Amino acid sequence: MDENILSIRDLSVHFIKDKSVVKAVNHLSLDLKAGETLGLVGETGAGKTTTALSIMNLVPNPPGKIVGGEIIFEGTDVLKRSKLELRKMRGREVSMIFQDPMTSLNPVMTVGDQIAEVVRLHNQCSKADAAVQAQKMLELVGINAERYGDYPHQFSGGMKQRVVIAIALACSPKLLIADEPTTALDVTIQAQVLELMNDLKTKFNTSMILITHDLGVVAQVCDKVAIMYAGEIVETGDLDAIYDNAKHPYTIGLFGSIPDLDNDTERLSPIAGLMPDPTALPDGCSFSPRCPHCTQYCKDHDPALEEIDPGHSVKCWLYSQQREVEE
Amino acid sequence: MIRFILKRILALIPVLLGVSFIIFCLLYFTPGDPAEYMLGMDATEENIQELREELGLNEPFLVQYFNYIKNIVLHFDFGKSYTTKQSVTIELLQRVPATVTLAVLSVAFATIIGVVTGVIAAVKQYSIFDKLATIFALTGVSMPNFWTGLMLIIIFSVKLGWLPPSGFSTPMHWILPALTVGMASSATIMRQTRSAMLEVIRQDYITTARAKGQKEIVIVFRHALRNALIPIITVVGISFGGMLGGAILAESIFSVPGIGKLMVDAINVKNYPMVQGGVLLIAFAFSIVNLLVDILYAFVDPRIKSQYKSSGKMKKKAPIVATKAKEETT
Amino acid sequence: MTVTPTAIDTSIDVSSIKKETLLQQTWNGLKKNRLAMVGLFLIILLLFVTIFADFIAPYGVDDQDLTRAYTAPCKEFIFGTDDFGRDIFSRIVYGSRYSLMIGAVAATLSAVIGMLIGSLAGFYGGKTDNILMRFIDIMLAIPSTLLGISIVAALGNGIRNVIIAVAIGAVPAYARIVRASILSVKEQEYIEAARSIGASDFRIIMHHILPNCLAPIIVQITMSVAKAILEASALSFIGLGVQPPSAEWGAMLSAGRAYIRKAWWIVTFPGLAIATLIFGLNLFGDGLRDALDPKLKT
Repeated sequence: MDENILSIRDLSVHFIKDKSVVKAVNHLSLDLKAGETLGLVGETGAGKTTTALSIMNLVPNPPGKIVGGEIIFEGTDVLKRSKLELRKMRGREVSMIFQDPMTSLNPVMTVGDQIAEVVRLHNQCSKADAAVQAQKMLELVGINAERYGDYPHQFSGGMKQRVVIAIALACSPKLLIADEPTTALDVTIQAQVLELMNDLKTKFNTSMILITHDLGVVAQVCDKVAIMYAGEIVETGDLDAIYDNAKHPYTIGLFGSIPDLDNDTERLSPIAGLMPDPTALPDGCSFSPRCPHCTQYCKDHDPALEEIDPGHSVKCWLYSQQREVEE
Repeated sequence: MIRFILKRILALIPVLLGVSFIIFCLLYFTPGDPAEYMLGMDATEENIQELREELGLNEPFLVQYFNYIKNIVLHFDFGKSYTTKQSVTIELLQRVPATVTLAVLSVAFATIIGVVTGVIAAVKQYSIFDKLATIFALTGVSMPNFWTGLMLIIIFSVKLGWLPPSGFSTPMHWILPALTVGMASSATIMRQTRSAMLEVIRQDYITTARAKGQKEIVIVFRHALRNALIPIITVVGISFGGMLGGAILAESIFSVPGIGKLMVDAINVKNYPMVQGGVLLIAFAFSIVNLLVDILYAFVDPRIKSQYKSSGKMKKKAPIVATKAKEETT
Repeated sequence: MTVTPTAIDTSIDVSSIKKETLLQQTWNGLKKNRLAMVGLFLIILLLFVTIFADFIAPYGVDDQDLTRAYTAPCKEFIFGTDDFGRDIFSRIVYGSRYSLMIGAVAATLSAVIGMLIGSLAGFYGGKTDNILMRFIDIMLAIPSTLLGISIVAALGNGIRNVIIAVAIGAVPAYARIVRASILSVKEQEYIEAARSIGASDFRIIMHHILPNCLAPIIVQITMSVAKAILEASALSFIGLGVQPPSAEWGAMLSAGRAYIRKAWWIVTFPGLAIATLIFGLNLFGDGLRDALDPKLKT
């Protein structure tokens, strides 16, 4: 059990806006082993970024609040750590790559200084040493070290993202969370960045959580997959299990809505309906309004995530062994 | 960069000429004969005509204007005061130190108080401090500065006796005038700082900085404030104009021997060359300050520095072009 | 599967629907803002005082009583009396008329002129724009108080000249707002579309461009009124514009300066009146800006 570097148990995060409560993450559970890459897949609004921020305890408060659960990273609960411990952890043991490279970098600091900053924060070294380290990181991500003194606006989107990666990996973190790192980039650049991340991951033996809505990217990079819907994990398993043997109706629907090179189809089959309003989640299974296999039982009772095969878990009454007899 | 500065200085010239022209026009068309004013009530018609010739008052308007500008540019001569018959230039220059001191102190006070309060209010949004600061800002902006000055005198000089009500000789004398002039601006600067900081703090790169494990206070000052500086500097620059106006009033109230008081006194006795010279000098100073603010932008924001460096060319706005294509389609 | 076009329903007057919702939306947004409502209350209070001055003021504006000069605030004279024994409260009440008139007229004047200049500059661009903006730059090179002083010094005293002086100082702000609004909208496609169906320049300006800058203009007008009143009273204070014995608030302050030690109330209350009115205008203007902003972001 404790080869798990990260273990999220029953995490719930709410956002309080004016009078309404947005339930962004609901009783989410997730495990990650050392050296593994987990793909966290879901539509926009599913709660992926919030989950990621929670791991570093960076959910903006107000308006966000972690209302329950625990996040065990390397043995201790992140949510219970002191401010000082959290600061030590961030950037050093856990790092994050954000979604939009255009806005993730400080416009008035040189890229070199921004990398050097994280080095100095976690290592007792001089400014000069940190700068040298920063230059090494720049080279590592494929940017000429001479560009240390350039500003973010002088770089293209793809190169900015490389800088962000350099910052994230500068202190060799054990866990890297990449939040849609390639969504804002061109497809060709996307390939380069993914390759870079793969190389670095192997080199440093970093565990990674890759957040994305792109199943193609997941196939390239990930060992495990977790499908997220309305703030919950609805299915999780190895890459093969999910891609070849998907069980949850939502997962099946996701795969069905992608254009397929091999098969000839007239139309795509999107999933009918929209994600539920996070301020008014349905009772029972949150997917029930859109599920083609929905029954009355599904509408009234919320299933739990259950392991149906080794390493493959689903949150669905269709596969559950623990269905209660209705009175 | 240097090219940019030179371009801006060059661009200043037509503006200053324009200002001088407007001021000159305004006072040229004022009813009353300058020669009469200078010589006083007992002057004879002859004396008046003599003086008019001497001062070149019978020349056509444009010639007079040209001479006026020529004197200023070549000899730094703003003409002669009607009342003292002395050079306006000398009198103005004598008063410059006091006004400059007052202006610098007021700007310093307004900026420091405004920025610090604004940062704290933004970081502790919705706290009591924030609410109080906002109310203070609203009242500060609403009080007419001449009234503030008088109230300060009543409280601190008349009732409490702590500070002198007039004069400018010692630092103690500087406090009330600087407060008077700076108060309204500090409120405006505080509000702008607060809103700029609030916007910056929401940005992604702040989250990036936190994800690095950086301390919150460093984030506030090194990451957030540095990015909020552009709108803050802008508002300080704009406020400066208001502070100049305020200084004129404050100098009257506190009997500060500066340009403002000189001008107010001159207005009341219709000493137009003095008023003219004073306005021009102040407008000139204001323009220089604006230029300095623009240059400051480049040092604060590297993106702007690049813009200044690459080309000084202004992008032309394309006029609306009637599209022939539209006419060609069905 | 073919799509059949539906007939256009011309019975609904779209423009009237839009306007109604906008005004109501703004009002709803304002109502929620307590500070803005306080501001509105203060403004209405001023209007009330100005209109019903005769009923509110216990004494006449020039009723002198030298035996009661320099009386401190008391039951008989709420704000005390001045050096001529005139009731300060009554003078403040009557003096509100100056503030109202100067504020309203100056703001309107500068709005009209400024919007005209800005429209021409923004719409026609090129040389027109250059010349007009140079002119605006020149006006901005002189701090507004100074500009006002110069104009009144040249034109002479009196309320008319004060209004002109103050109005001119506020023109650049309007010109810039309108011009910026036009520039941002001009390049957009719906303008080309309007042109292509034969809309004249004037119509385009009136129907498409001006509504876009309506929100910042309205806010600016509120702020201009406040600025006009402040500047006018500052001019009176220096000795320009409206002079004693007029009960203009700035003039009252100027006259009362000499008596600060003896009778502090002579300068305190007129200034307080100015501050209160400006405070109300600022609160309301801020509230307007907040209410209009998210809805009409150009």
